Amino acid sequence: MSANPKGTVSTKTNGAAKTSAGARRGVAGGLATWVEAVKHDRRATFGACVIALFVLVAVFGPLFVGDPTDLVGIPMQPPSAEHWLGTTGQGQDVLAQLVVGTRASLLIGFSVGLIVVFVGALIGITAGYFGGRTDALLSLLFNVFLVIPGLPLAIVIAAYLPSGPLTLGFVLVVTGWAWNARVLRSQTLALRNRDFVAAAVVAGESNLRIVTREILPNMTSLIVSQVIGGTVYAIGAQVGLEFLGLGDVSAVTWGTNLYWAQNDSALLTGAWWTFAPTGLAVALVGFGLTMLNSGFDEITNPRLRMQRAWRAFLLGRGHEPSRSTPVVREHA
Amino acid sequence: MRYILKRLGFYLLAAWVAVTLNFFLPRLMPGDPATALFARFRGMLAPEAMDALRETFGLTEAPLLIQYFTYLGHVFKGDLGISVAYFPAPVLQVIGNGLVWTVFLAGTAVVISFVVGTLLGVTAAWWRFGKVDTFVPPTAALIGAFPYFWLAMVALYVFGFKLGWFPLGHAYGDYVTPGFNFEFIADVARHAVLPVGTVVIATLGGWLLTMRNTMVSVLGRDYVNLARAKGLPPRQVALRYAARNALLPSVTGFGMALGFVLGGSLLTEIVFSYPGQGYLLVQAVRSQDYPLMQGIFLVITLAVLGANFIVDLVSLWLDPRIRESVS
Amino acid sequence: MPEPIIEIRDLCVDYVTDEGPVRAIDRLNLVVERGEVLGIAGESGSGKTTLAKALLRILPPPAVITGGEVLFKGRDILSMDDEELRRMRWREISMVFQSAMDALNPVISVVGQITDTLLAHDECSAEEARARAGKLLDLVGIPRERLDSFAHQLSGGMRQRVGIAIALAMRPSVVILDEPTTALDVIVEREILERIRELQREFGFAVIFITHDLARMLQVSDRVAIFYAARLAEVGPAAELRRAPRHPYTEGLLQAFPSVHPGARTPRSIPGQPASLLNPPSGCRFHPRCARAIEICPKEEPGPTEIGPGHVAACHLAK
Ligand SMILES: Nc1ncnc2c1ncn2[C@@H]1O[C@H](COP(=O)(O)OP(=O)(O)O)[C@@H](O)[C@H]1O
Ligand code: SF4
Ligand SMILES: [Mg+2]
Repeated sequence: MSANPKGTVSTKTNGAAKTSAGARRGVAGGLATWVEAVKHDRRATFGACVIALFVLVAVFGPLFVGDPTDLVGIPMQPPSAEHWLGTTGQGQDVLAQLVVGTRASLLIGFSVGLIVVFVGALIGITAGYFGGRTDALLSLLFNVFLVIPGLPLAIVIAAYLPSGPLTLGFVLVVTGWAWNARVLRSQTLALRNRDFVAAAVVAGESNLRIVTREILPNMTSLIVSQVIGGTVYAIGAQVGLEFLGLGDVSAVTWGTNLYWAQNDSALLTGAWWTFAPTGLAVALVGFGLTMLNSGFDEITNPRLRMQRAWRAFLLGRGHEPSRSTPVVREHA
Repeated sequence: MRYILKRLGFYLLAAWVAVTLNFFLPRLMPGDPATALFARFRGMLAPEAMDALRETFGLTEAPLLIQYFTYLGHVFKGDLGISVAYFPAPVLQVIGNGLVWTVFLAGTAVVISFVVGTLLGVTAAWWRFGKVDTFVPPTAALIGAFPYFWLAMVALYVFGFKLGWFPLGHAYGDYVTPGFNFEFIADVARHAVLPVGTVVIATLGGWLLTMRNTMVSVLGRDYVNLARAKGLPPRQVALRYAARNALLPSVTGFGMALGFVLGGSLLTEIVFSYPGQGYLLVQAVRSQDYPLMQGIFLVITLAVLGANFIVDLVSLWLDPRIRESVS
Repeated sequence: MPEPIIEIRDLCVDYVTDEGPVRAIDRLNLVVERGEVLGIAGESGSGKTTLAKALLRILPPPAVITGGEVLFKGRDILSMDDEELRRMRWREISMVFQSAMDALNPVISVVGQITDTLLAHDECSAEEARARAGKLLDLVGIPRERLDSFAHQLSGGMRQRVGIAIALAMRPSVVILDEPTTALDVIVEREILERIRELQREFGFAVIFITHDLARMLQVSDRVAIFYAARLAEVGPAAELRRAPRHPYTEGLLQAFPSVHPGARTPRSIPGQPASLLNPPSGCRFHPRCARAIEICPKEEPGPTEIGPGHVAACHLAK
């Protein structure tokens, strides 16, 4: 407000001081909001429970089932007391395959989710922070990657590399990072123009420090939500590629389970149990992660929160929400 | 005009990147590319096929740069090499046979799912907290979490195998003659119901949620409030003022989602033995037919770039601000 | 003899937040006379826009009108159903929004946004509507070539004029101007205000003129109402308020604009922070910032006191 130069300087240092505190609050705050979301939003609670369940299965499940590659029975048997989810076309136990597959699939899913966001952040933040020619060049790069269709590109790359989890992870990252880069670039651009970043620049702080202390902490929640989104993408795309036979077909993962089900003509022989459980597992994990994200959205978006409060207020007083401003005469 | 040229330039660049990737990928294989590639096929292929392979990739003794320009020249002339799996058919011919089916399947599915999803999104946002808003988005999100090809398997199992309502695969039966006759068109439609339906319900949720969320935030803008204040009928406020503006981000997202939807559609083709690019792609992967694989990648990329350009033209028509934007 | 066109009685408006309702208009009593210019001033956040939109019943969620009456020509706007409201809006009361930038739809042309209003209320052909839209642009001094322009092609001043043209489309009896000139430079601002004044004399509509620039307001208004923290602090004829303000807050505002107050030489802003509505001060809401506060001020809310004809102040000292 005041126009004297002293006042201006003091506001700036004030601003900078505020942000270092704000930055620390950023990381803790970002995580705290997630805890908040899980506690208070039904969808987030549901999502968190589903994910926790699958993580438990991935970690401890394999201890409780036999070797999934063992030929344990007559091929293509429907679920029975002995084999709860039946047997595959080779005579392996479907349940064992599902449980063991969970481990590999989640591992790749979560790591790719993390790496994709890491690469996206590296490129997106660099572009948004430095602007100018750097930005033009990097933006062009991720925009090109965004319009080149992912699956065919992934197939072409994977076909040339030795099959295995590393190849799979690599192609998933190559085809998946661009979206994150795009979102994080625009977020960085917005933060770059905020007072406290400008203040840090004026104060002569190093770029690395500004990015790690001022910008990143203010994007924690966005980044966490991107990791979740990236994991959903990674699991889906991974299953798709493996279904095509581009994974290591001798490994046991959700995708190869489906590959073998299709290969053994499960559909034509009516062996639904060889593909149904795996698909349900993929969907549950994906749905759980999505619910976690949207519950979080609800918590962080004040507009959505207020609209809920508004609706509850009206319903609680026997009024329907209406388009014209509702009138509730409390003291009539 | 300027905007159109800019976009065209961008797509040309993207196409060039795709072609260049195509050229370098075989050379990125560990070891000497030619030897590695041929080692794989030794004994499996006739010497003529080996020569064709060599020819396709321009794997000669010439310096890399010369090889590159030779390759560009070939691509420019539409010469994508000879298919290994369908030897001696040229790749372009093999792809050409299936392209129409892929475009038909993915195109129909994408248009239906975009229109239905967007309308549902508008409905959900306009009647916020109503029945549609309460039940449809979570259901769509749940369905959307299933892999497309898995939904395809279930659809095929239930409606094709168990109930026998629809054919089990292919684009049309042997009993009809392809051409512009009623039997053929009806049969194609009957064969398309399951694959198109699967892709539609798998992708519906994405459009729905995007549209709903944008529309909810547009409904809070002052220009919508002004429209209401002006005493316009509710329909006009909803469609002319809110939905039309909310559509813009969806349309922009449409271009970017195309490649993704197409991927799902390719996988769906495989389940239904639909004679499109997806089916060819599996054949190519299984028989390590690199020229075919790369050809498909290139052709699909070009198709997606073309579709994106059309989307740009649509947003140009929808949003007057783009018409003059210089940057 | 002045004749009321809008009578606001005990109006309450709340925003429902997740920490509970926040009252943005608290038991407001105010009258708008036919054909007058009523100015409303107050700090940002004091509830001016809330009142304007409440009169049209277009406050978006989370707003709820929690009490009172708004009589327009004797009929209670708060009891109207959606269709009655739709017909009342713009035919009777229209409004120019605070942010000219966001109030025009960016993808609909100027003419489109005028004619849809005409067509929604009147039976007329598309050509007639277009001709009428052209005349409206003439009124606010925009060349007719601009009919097919879009918002982003217009300057801030032009956009605000288009907003005024739209507001005049149905020849309403009340036009609300919500800070119509804040984003504009001084010259454009004066032009627009003069134009509004001329139009008002020509058509005889009443104007509710909202601003935080008290100086400008005293020049153009017949009567002025001062809001502080969701409540009416003082209302009275413009000349009287300027000469003899009776509420310390009004006085403070006048001193902040020395051009209208002969006593003060340098602008002196009111010390302290605007009151929080989530947790408002007890008694008189102005007491933490009031230099004249007396013992009773934090304890008891001052009721409205009639000082002269049409001059009311809510202050313990105004008796
Ligand atoms: N959408 C909203 N949600 C919650 N509170 C709001 C909202 N809009 C306004 N308010 C509250 O109402 C008060 C009055 O706002 P407003 O009428 O816009 O003030 P003015 O126009 O005088 O600047 C503000 O102090 C704010 O706290
Ligand atoms: S009532 Fe008291 S605190 Fe309020 S304005 Fe009057 S003197 Fe000041
Ligand atoms: Mg305001």
